[in-house]
Amino acid sequence: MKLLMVTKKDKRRHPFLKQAFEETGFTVKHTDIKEVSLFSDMKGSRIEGPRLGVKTTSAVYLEAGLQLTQFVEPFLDELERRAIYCQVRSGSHYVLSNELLQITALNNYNIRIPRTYIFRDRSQLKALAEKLSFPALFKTFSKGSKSQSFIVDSPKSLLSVSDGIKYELDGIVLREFIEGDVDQCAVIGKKVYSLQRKFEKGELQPLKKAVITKLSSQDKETAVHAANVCGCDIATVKMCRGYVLKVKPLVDLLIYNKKTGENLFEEVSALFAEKTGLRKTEGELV
Amino acid sequence: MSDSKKSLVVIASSHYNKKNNKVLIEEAEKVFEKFLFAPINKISIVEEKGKPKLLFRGQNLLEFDACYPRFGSRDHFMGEAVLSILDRSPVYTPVSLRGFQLSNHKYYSIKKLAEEKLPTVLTALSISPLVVEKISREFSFPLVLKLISGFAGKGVMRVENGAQLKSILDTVHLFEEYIATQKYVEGHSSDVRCYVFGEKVLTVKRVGAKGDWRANISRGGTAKIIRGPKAMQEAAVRAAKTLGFEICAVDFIQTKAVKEGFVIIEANFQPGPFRKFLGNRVPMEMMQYIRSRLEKKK
Repeated sequence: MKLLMVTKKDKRRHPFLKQAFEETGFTVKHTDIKEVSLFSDMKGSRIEGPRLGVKTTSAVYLEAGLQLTQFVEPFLDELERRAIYCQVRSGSHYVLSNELLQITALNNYNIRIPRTYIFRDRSQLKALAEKLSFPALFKTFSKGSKSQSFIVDSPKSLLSVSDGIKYELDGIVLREFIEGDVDQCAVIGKKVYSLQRKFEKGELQPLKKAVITKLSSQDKETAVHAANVCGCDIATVKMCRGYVLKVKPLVDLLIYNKKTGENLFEEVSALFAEKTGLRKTEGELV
Repeated sequence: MSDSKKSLVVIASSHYNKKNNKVLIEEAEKVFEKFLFAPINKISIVEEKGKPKLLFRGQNLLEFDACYPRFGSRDHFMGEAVLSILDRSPVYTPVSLRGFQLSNHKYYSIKKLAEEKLPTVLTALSISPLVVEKISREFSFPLVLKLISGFAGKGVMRVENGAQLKSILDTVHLFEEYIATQKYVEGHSSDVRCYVFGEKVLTVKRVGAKGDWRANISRGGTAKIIRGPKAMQEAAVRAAKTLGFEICAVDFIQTKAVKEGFVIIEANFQPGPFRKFLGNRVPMEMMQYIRSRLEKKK
């Protein structure tokens, strides 16, 4: 069974992942997404690239970065049309690349998120600040991505921070700040591996310093549900005290391997084997 | 509101055209008992406990019977969030989040239309300028390059030869937008726009300004209502449904290059009313259609 790894750049984790896929029974080809192009006309749509062999491909492992959303979305749509399994579904990159849309999607599916206000015009800040409890998280978005993020402890400091921004904004997120350590969860299918990042002196530890932690079964379910709502079978879900803060379509597999002692490359390849029918259920080869 | 009285909110873009919206408001006020005009930059969204609110001056827009969002790609950040909420609310809306995303993506929309066997021209999408050069060999010159997030024809370039293509691709900053490459179809500076209101179609011929190969009114072109070919009108309705619209405009070029005699160039999420040439006709049709859908819903 053939699997394509389509990635933006070569990363240190890719050879390990390729090896895991091969050991599971896949024939693997690794290609740069820049080599791929899409064509459509009345005869149909096609994916082209040097020796890709899409017609004989059963699965695609995709790591593309959210800045490539405009390319990735029609690519994912074409994979779905061809019934080629990919760990992210069509629509996922639209949801994940727009944090405002991600918040509404999570809330639409009743996933626990902190109370959040979304708006564009800073003239609304004063009125909204009166309705929110502090400290609060103030995030601004400009030119299609996050531009700045601040924790503000009062309406006065919020307005002061806002006054300092001199460029036009695409969107503003003002949300209740959930103070505490962050559980950074790697979701792979229905499995969840969690690392805890300490929140100390107003700063969040880097992932490299995180420690392994055990989530409640309810929090595990929430993490899997949040990943699925965002169209991902594999994702990183950031949570704090049971609230979902953010979902990303990528897991830093090397760090999780090191911290948890588990082999997440094997977990990823097992998920692909299950989804493509290479393996019906865990351990059972077709 | 009571059964017979109906309410509508139009969510406009943050930089809305005042004159175009004046006629829309005039027509809306004739048809709806309660009408509200809300620019998207004045709206706030409250997300909590699975129950979103869309607020404008203290009113929850999700309490209206209908909502007609009319904003463009410049408002896509807020726009996608607003449409996602409307999609899952009981408020009737003649557009959708999917339609917004597709119509703002000139390759993706053509892809979905082509899959429905609607007449389209060969279109390609890639990330790397090197790949675009390779693609161009499949198209022959002239060809059309389209910026993916472009609108009102400003992001559309006709490329006459390889040297010109290379020069454009060298402007790598532009390329961060992604470029769709499309086979050029001679339209003799004119095209046909089909405004779709459910199953009803209003067909308009647009002629471009002298010296411009494009037919955009915003670039100095003219427009007049014509009796459109039935096949084209049917294609417009199918295209709208495919992309997730009940109200939109579908642009065609008439050509002998395909057996249908026309190809679809693009669909528009918030079509302009061509007020100078068509008066209030388009906003009137829009408002009457939304009202009729609410009556059917009842």
